[in-house]
Amino acid sequence: MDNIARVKDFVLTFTSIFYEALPFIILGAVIAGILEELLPQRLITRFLPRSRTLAIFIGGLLGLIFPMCECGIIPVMRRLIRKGLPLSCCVAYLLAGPIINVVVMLSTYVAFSGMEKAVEPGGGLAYQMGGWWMMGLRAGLGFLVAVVTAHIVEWQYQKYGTKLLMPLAVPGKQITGEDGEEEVEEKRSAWQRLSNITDTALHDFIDITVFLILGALLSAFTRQMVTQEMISDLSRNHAVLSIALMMGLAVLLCLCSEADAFVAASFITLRPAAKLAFLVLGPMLDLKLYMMYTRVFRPRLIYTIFLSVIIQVFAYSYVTHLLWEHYAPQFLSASAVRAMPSPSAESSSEAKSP
Amino acid sequence: MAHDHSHGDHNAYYLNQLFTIAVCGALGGVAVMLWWSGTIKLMLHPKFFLWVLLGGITLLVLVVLRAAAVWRSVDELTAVPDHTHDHDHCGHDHDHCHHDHDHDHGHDHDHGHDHGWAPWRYVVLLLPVVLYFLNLPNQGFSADAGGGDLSGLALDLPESLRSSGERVDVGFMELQQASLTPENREFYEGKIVTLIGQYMGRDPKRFTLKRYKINCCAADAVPLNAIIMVSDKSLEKVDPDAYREKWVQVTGRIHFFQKPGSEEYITGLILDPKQDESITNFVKPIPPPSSPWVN
Repeated sequence: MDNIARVKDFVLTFTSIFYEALPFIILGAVIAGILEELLPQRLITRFLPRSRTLAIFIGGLLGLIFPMCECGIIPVMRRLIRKGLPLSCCVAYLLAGPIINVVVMLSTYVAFSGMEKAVEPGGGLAYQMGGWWMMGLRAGLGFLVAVVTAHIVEWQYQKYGTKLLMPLAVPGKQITGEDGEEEVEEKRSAWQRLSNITDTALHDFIDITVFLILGALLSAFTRQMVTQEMISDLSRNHAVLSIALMMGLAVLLCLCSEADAFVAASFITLRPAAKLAFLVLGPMLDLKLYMMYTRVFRPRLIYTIFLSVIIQVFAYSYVTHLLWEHYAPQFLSASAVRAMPSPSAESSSEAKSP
Repeated sequence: MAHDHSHGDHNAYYLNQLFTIAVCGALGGVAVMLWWSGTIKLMLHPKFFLWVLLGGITLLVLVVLRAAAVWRSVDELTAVPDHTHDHDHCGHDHDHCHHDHDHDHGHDHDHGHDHGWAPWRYVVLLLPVVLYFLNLPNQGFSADAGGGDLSGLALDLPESLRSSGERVDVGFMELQQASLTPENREFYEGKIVTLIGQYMGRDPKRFTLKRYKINCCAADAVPLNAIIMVSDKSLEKVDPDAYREKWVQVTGRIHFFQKPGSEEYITGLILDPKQDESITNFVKPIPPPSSPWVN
């Protein structure tokens, strides 16, 4: 492969990652501008549940009502933290939002539907996860990882406070008068408000997009070095290694959570738990997200989140692997055999059943 | 107002604003032009075309509004020159020159950002704009991207190939999916099909036909490869140098090869020219399609 072709492929990968994320960064920046200008700080604290655990649970499910991709969430989240939404709730939304939303759940279902019928060369079932299984486990594990990480972040926040945040994300002071009562905000004309919204929106757009570009460049570079074939070959027949490798691939590829299920599904022979690890980790942690997180969180918090997410995704995926490989032959055989009337498949799957 | 810019850095503030307006305007304009020229087809799935257009337009609208606000703030600054010496915030875009509240009452409603001058950021941001003016990207992935050349695999031609003569109108995706189940492999075996893809390989008797499937963007492209073999009975050969990296249309009979040492099956086409037929009837160069992807 000549160098010019290599450079062109690199540019194509970079620009495709960039332009796919661009509209959602713009949307996030506009929402951030509107939130900054129009959302009163006291409104958030007024509607927030008193129980922090309940608030974190709600944060983890917020993607069902406000679906945002992982790139668009970041500017919005930064503004919400500044407006007084607890950091842990924001982290729960940040991590779970790109997984627990209708579009991503549907795309996961579609990508894996029919997979449960995949067979081995001998005709026996390959015991892959179908659409419902993969969608359910992805959403369930995504929620679990997000909620546990948010609790760890809450504990860290109580210990270190706003030292965990970049100055731009530190919550503003409460708007209070001398007597401690809430003061009426100054009156601003519609033009002044519009001007402030555009100022914040363009500022946030520039601030986040710089790091999106750097992340996309890194991702395009690693894609030149590592191919899906390499991962697939390395991880064949090694469950633990395949989970770790697929997690690494999720970090390197920087895929949109709407598309990653189709890429995971293309690893036909890989064990399902490795695909699950790829699908849960990818929307929470990748190169471009890391670059963008640096505009919101201090390194201590970034490493806390990453460590928590990586350990949990690996552990849950491995447990899923053990359970799936043990129990799937028992409860998948009957339904799959009905779906596959071929005599060879039937005899083979019967032979596998206890 | 707790902005980070005050008396001393008005120049930096305005420089920053001007660069922000220019770079955001350029990025918005490029996004619209990518949609307008159709270049976006090289990068993204069609479902994102409208998003890119709307994103570009939104960015342009924001830029126009911002430019107007900065313009007004300069007017206000020059109209009330003395005030700038009395008040830290006069003249910038947040329009505090004509406010009627007292800044000493202790409230703080900063917008949470600084307007410091950081030129390196604009250099990074201009990268997509520069690439657009260099007309990059101008094609899909090269055929060799990500490897996947099947012509080196130890695949043997079947001793006898079923030949129903029936022609089927299916694409790469359908055949790839068909390779997963024995029933579908059985159904398609021996039928005649025409596929379009990029030529890859150096062997005169076998090559790989490559096409990529995308779901969102080129970064999630999954290669769909088919192995093309010229029948042993034929003396015809393909000239690899004439076809390499080119788009070709191939017509042949379907056969699914089991990948050596694997559980996977590979889609294959077998070309079997008769004595008076040229291989060029089976492998024809074609111009690249406007969208190189299988969606």
